[in-house]
This record gives sequence, structure tokens and C-alpha cells, in this order.
Amino acid sequence: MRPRWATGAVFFIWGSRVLKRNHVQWIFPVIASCLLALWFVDRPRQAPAQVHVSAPAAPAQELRTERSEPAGSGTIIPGGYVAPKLEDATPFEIEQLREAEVTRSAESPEPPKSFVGADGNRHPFQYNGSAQSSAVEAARDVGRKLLMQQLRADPVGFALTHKLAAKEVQWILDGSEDFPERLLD
Amino acid sequence: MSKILTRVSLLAAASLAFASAASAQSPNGFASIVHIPVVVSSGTFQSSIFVHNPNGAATSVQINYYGATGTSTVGFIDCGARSIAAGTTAQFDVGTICPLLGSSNFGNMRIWETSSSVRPIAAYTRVQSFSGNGFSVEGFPIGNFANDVGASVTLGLRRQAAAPTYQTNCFVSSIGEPVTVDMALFDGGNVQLGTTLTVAIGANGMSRLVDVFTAAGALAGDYSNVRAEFRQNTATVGNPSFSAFCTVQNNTSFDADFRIAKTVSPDDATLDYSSNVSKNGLGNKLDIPPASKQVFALYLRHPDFVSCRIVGDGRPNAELRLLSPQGTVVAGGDDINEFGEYFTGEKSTVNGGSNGRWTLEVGSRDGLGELADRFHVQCTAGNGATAPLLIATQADDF
Repeated sequence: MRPRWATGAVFFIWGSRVLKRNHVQWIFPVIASCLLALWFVDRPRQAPAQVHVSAPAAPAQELRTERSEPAGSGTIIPGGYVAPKLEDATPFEIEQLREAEVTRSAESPEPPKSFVGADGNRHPFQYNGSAQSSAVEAARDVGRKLLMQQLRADPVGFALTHKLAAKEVQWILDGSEDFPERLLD
Repeated sequence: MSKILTRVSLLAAASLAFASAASAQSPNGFASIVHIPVVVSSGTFQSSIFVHNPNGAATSVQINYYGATGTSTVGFIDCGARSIAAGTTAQFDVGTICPLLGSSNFGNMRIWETSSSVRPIAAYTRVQSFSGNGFSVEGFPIGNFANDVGASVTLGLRRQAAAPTYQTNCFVSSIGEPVTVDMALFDGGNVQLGTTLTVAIGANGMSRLVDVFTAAGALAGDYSNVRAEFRQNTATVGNPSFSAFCTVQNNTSFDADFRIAKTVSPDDATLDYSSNVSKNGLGNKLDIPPASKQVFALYLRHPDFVSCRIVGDGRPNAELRLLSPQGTVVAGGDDINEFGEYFTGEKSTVNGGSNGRWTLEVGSRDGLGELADRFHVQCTAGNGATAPLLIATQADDF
């Protein structure tokens, strides 16, 4: 792209030569001067000379997103989002976080109430709101803790009784796998 | 005399009991290494092998045969290398390409492409007699066998004394490594019939359990709707996979079929029917920073049913929602920590018909986040799916 100052200079010379005998010949040099002035104000700053080939990453504040929350110094997470740190937050900032959640919850779309099933008909979602769901989940939590006690007490016996492979037992103890549904239900 | 020999041959062949049931096999059949659970070469029956190379360049394949215990040729037989031109399908007869001994052979087969670049192939086999009666066995991608954990099952087994007389035989093969497998029979009400059989098999070996009802010590009488359950025995060293199948044969007409054992819960992180995620991809316990949401990716195969929930002590303060590949919230949202079964929609209605990446977002209800080790993310998918993998932490917006 041709720079704006070059356009101004060309305009200046052309206007002076072609219209020098005209009584409005002063208009073109004025326009050219304006263009030159605009270029000077609007030109990009020169980047500093790079001393090191492997320059450091861009400053952290350039990675912030528009939705960064006010509180603490924050933790920069790969991908650019800065999560506020709760331990650095003042009570006022914590209250701000709570209020922000209330606001965004109100602004977020309502959870879908239904979906089209495999039969082509609409079916209501079963969300956690029902007392039944909570009760079932609470019962499963109790069962899970009981099973974990049994497993920790006798991993080998537990595996044999419940037909679990050794590595399944290890997964459950590590927390990377839950107990099989057949044991929780 | 020749009639007697023919009958003996037919009976021997039928007792091998191989065949195909298309519903038991999968359209995901291309692979660089294909396992064929059983091929036959006997006086009456021969397996023909069809290998297709859909790639734009010729590929070479190596064909290995592993004879079953009790047959004329036990163990490994090199059936040689073959070149298959681009886009073509080659046909081989087991008895022709494999230097087998005697006239009563069955075993499993491994075919793999030996090109310097990856060129997946597919294989299909047809077992048939000179009269044309026959049955089919598909070639399975070797990676499909991931059954070192839990059970693999074959269904609909039966025994009937009255004509036409049904008999069930089952087979177990190891895949590359020695394995010990338990087999047990259960009726439709999940009551075990007889006792559990244990079969130890060497690397690439194959064992047959003739008349499994008798072998398992089931009480005399007829049975139907019986399930054979195979699972790795704890004596197994390591975590090898195995291949198991059963056949139900008609001892009057010598019809038979092939029923591959289907794995209830494959030990395969790309195909979890039920997943439980407590850590991120780097092995750190999941948390939710204040004013943030954790974004997980999971790959679904639609049409499918999927459900997700949060479990653990942090559940009451957690919320989650599922977004389609197009970024539309389809389930869950503010203050929802569990959504029941959701139907993705028929094939063409989702992501242009492509199985793709869905996202699951998990945030906190109070905006203050959740500490590590206080919650797990669990999802179930009817077709199996990848476990949710944390891919980003973003500003909370729900």
C-alpha cells in the first residue's frame, strides 16, 4: 500500500504545476499539506530494534480477555485467560465475584428444557432440580464411600468378589475411574 | 464308503462351527493389521480370503496362519507375502497359500500390510464346502480387541437334543501374547450353568471348547438364550487381549454360524461407554478457578444418547452444560450439575453428518470456583466416546 505522505507529495506537485495560473491554485497545496499532517499523526510507531532473536513472549496484560474479573493479581492460564486468585482477593472483591456470577447467570441462556428424542418427539430434560435425582445421587455417594472403605481394606479380595481386574482396582484407588455402575446401583 | 467319508468330513467340518452374523460384526473394518478369528482348510471345507486395498498405491501384505490346538497343523505357519494393486481386491485360498499338514485344519489368521506408509486394508473370508454351503467370518481390525478388563459375551447359545439337534462350540484365541481366559455360561436370568472353565493359551494360540454345555458341566437338558462370558483370568501376566467366539450348529443340516464375543467395556480410552474424569491431561486434579469455567472436549458418534454429571463433594456448587460441535448449548446450563439422557439427533442433523467434537463446560454456581480434588466429571455415551479432556480455562459466562 502506498504511504499517505507519498500521496500528499504527489498531489502537492501536481496541483502546483497544473493549476498554477488558476485563482484557486492554493487549494491543492493546502489539501496536500493536510494529508502530510495526517500521515505524521497517524503513522505507526517504529518497533524497537530486536536485540535477541528469541524475543520474550508478549506481556501478560496483552493476553487478558475482555471478561477478566476484578480480583487479586490473577493466574495466567495458557490460552490467554487470566483467572483471579481467591486468596489474594479482599472481602469486597469476593463479593464482587459473587455478584458477577449472579449477573452472568441471569444473562446466560436458560438451560434447554427439552430435546427431540430418537422417536422424533420432544422429551423433557431430567436435570438435578428434582429431589429424586438428588436423593439417588446422595445414596450413590454413600455407597461409593462404603465401597471405597472395603476396597482399601482388602483390594485383592474386593477385586475377586466383584470381578475387577487389578488395574481397574488401581484406577479406582487413583480416582481416575469410578466404581462400576453395577456396584453403585 | 465314500458316503460315510463324506458324512464324517461334514461332521468334522460342522463341529468347527464357523460362520458369520453380519449384525455381530462392525463396519469399521479397515486396519493395517487385520485379525480373522477363524479360517478353515479341511477335506470338505475351505476358506477363501478376500483382501481389499482401497489406497492409491499398491501395498504388500503378510499373511500368517496360527493353527488351533488339536488340528493337523498347530501353531504358526507363514503363508507368505502378497502384493495387492491399488484399488483392487485379491482372493486367496487358505489351503493354497498356507503349507498346512494333513486335512483337518482350522486356526486364526493375521494379515498386515507391510508398506513403508500406512495403507489400511480390509479382509473378509468365506468358508464353504464343495457343494456351496458355507458361512462368513469378517476380518477385524486388531485394535478392536481391547478386552483385558471386564467381560466379552456371545449371546443366544443353545443346546437341543431333539432334531434338528443344536450344539454350541466356543473358541478362544490369544492375540500376539499368551493369555489365560475364563469362560462361564449364564442363562437369561443370569444364573450360571455349570462351572467356570479356564483356558490357558500361548501366544497366537487357539483353543476350542467343543459342546460348551457339556464342557462346563451344565445339567443335562436343553438350553436356549444362554450367554457365554469370557474374561481374562487373574493368572494372566500383563494385559493382553484375546479373541473369542462361539458357533451354534445344526447337527442335521450342518448349518452353523459365527458369533464374535462382544466386549462389554473395552479397555479403550477412545471408546468409553462410561467415563470418569478427575484429572486434566497433565495428571493434575481438576479444579475450577474463581469466575472461570473449565472447557472439556469429547468426541461423540451420532446419533447417540449422552448424559453427564458432576460427582463428589463439590457437586452442589458445580454447574455444567453441553455444547454441540456448532457451539450451541444443547443440555444443562446455569445451576445444572447433571443432565439425563440427551439424544444428539440423527446423523445429518449434527455437524454436517460428521462425528465430531462436542464441548462440556463446567463452572461454579457461586462464582468462587472449586478447589482441586472435590469433583469428578462423568459422562456416558451409548456408542462410546472419548472421556472429556480439559482443553481450556475460560471466563465463566453461565
